[in-house]
Amino acid sequence: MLSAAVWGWSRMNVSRIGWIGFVAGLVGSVSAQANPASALTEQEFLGEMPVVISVSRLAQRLDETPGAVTILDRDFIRMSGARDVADLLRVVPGFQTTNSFETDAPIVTYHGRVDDWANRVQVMVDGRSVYSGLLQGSAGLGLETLALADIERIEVLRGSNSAAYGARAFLGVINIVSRDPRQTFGTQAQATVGQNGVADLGGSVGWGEDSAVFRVSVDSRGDDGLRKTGSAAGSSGKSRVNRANLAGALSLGSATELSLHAGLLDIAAYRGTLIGDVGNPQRMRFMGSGYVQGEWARALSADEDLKVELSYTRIENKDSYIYQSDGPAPGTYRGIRISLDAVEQNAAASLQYIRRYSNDVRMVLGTELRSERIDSRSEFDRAGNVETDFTRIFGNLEWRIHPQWLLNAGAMLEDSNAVDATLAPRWMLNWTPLRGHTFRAGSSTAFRTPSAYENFADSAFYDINGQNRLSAVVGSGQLRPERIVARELGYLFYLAGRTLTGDVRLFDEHISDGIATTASTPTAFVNSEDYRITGGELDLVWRPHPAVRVGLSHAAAEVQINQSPNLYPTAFTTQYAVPKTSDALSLMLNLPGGYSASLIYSQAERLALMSAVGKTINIERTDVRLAKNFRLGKSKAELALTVQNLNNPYPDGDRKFYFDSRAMVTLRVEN
Amino acid sequence: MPAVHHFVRFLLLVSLTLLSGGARAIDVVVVLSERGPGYLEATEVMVAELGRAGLTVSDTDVRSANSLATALAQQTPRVIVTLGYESLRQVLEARPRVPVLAALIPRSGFERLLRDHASTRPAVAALYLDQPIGRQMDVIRLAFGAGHRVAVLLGPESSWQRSLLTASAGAQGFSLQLAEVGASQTVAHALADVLDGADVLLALPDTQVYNATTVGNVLMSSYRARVPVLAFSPAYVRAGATLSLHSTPVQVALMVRQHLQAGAVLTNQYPADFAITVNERVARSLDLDLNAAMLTEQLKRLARKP
Repeated sequence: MLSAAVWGWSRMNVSRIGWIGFVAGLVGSVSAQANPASALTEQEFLGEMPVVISVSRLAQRLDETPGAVTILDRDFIRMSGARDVADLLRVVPGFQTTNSFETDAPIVTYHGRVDDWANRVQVMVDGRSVYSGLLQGSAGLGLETLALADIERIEVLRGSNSAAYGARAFLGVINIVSRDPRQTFGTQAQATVGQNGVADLGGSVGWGEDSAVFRVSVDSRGDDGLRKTGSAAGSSGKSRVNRANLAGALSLGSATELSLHAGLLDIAAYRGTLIGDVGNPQRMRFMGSGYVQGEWARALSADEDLKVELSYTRIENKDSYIYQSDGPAPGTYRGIRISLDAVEQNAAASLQYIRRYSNDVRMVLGTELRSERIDSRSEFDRAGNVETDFTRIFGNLEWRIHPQWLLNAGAMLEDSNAVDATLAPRWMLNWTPLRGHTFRAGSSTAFRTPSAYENFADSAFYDINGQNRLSAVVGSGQLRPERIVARELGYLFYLAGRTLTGDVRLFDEHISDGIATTASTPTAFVNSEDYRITGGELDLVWRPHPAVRVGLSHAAAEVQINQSPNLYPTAFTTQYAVPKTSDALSLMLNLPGGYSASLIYSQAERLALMSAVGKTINIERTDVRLAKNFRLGKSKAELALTVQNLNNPYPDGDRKFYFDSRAMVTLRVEN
Repeated sequence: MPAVHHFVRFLLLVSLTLLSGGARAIDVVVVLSERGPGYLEATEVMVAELGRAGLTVSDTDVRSANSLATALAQQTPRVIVTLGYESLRQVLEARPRVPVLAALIPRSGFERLLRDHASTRPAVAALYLDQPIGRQMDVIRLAFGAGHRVAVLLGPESSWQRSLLTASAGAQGFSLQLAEVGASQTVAHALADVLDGADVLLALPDTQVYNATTVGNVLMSSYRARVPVLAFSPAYVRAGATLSLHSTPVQVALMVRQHLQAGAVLTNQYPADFAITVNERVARSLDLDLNAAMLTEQLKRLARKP
């Protein structure tokens, strides 16, 4: 109801005195209340403004997204109590994760392959692909790029989508979006201490004016690692991750924006065993990366955008030890220094043009040039380095054929000096017969180009006199790209006034020319895998009240090996790297009095670790967190108690490593 | 739009020609702040509508002090209608002896001019260009539902509305998240504060808060925070605001005609007629089902209620 007082004027029905009679009422009844400091003119109402939310900045609705998407937002991330991105992703249906710094950095896989080098999922951090050719295509290091406190949300696209997300989106995509510096002014700090040597400290400061805003974040997280058993018993698992990141958002005048990101990452972690393993003694291993990236975006009109992205990433691995055995005759290898040191440099430039032709047709066209160079005597003994140059051209058409039918069709052409050119097409049809009910059907073909190490490895050792070359790993240089043909059916629904959202995904993924190692000496990589993964996934989020979030995910999968298991030694782990079933339940409550509570339960059944040939395990884990918000002077603060893994210790990443229960306390302050 | 310009110029030329040779006094002189599209559109409608009502109308602009002085000296209108801040300022400087109806002017600008010319001003009333706070709260309720957290950035030109905001939000059951932009706080800082946990950002015109420099940050930050923006002009909707509540120049012209014809005694008024525009793509992307025509109709029905 509009009140006259609020409207500030009144109708005065005075008898008709002619139109000039309005003079009599010329007293502004509301003017006495106002006290504007300066003049506001009509220009503010009539003037034009540059287009800001242009076509490429419009986020897709879930029911228009060509695939299944799980989104973990900032509240979920904070209330989960997780300390790493990888650990958080265990709640996403179909994902397997590790917490092990003892082998690589913690990794995530989708639909299996829980090895040291999970390399079939694309990981993007603010649009930059962070896989490492040096680490056999693994994104483990890349997943550590940002502290969780700097992440706005994580979008997980389940399903192959190379046409839209590049060659590494073989099985799925993890899209990590950092917090917009325009929303992180002031200072923020947090510290965590707890059992198992958990000691984390971090903070950020944001500053700037309206046209240029920046944030610098620094943090260090560390603990004593996983508990070691068997031949690894007594070995240290201490690890520490140090990070510094800069984010900037600059407005360059009419409809042009520049985003800047740069960062340094350093991981120091013990690996190897204290006794008994002459080829893998305990030592400290360092991995690090530095990157700088810029994205220039200009809205040519409300319907037309141009984007240019440039990035440079440098990755370094420092790992060496003294060999403690004589080795095979005739050389003497005892006492030689085995060095796995390597430097990788990746430079990428991409150009994207996005255009909407009408309300029903939108198109993206783009190209990317990428150069990857790895310098490593230990990995490429005789060549010393490998350089791979990629040229990619991609396009995607979004066409609303009918108000109920939306077609997404796209393809990516990739050419490189490593393998023959490949064309990865993808299409998905979304049908929304009823509001809140969307059915999807689509298929995709994608390729994963072998990493430089898989294709060109030349790992060898020389005896104490630099003679008697001993070859350990040899790449053929002839590998073909791994290939996947994926088909899926999906159903996205909103029920109960949108408080319940769910997604069902049924998939059939046929992987051929999968790259695996041989059991021979020297080890080689071959295109030996041929198998099919079929199954289904359910992802539910229920918000019965603004203060309550309940998440439930379920995945079931079967792997069918199409080739004789005898042809490659990893057949067992391929067969069981995808758990038969896995589930996650999360419950998050914001309670009165500034309290919040959360519980996350996850389980995976019949899962094979890469190190446990012939055996499968079941994993169960429950985490709980209780927090209290309060004021600390003028600052907002939160004190939280988190207990990870209330269940029995479970093997994590390796049969010798166990994730024990651990409790920790976190204090977060921001102003 | 050149065609419109030519048409308007033609109309004005015709009316001036008639006036110069006619014996009849001019009823209305319309004074434009400039000859931009909005002003010309309003003038065109006013000339046509008042002409149909049998009134003679002339127009001039304030591009040079000469043209205004000449126009007012040559013609003795029964009323002057000003379109815009600058035209009212110059008319007040000219100290006309006839009453003035100020249109296309926001309330705070109008009141500033009245204060500056307190001793010499003629009889003057305003038809404000901005919308009353209560009506804006009504739009929020109609578009997004009740019980929301409404974020508002206030600057030097809009902070006088603080108590109105509080009262109106309270009446609708909204909670307010207010922040002031000023010497100690930039728009970016204030925006980051108010967007946290907000359901909608209500943009109130203020050159210190909403301008070409800040629009990118305001709209991008709000969109990324999934906070829809209720703006005050269709230009903001074209730029990326979710919706706007405003009065078009044509609506303003028609309201001026109604006031002049009705003969009612007039106080300063907020516009009785208004429009809502929706950026359907932004709304759709934010999962909002907004229909501009339906919202306008609902709002007008509310306004008609006693």
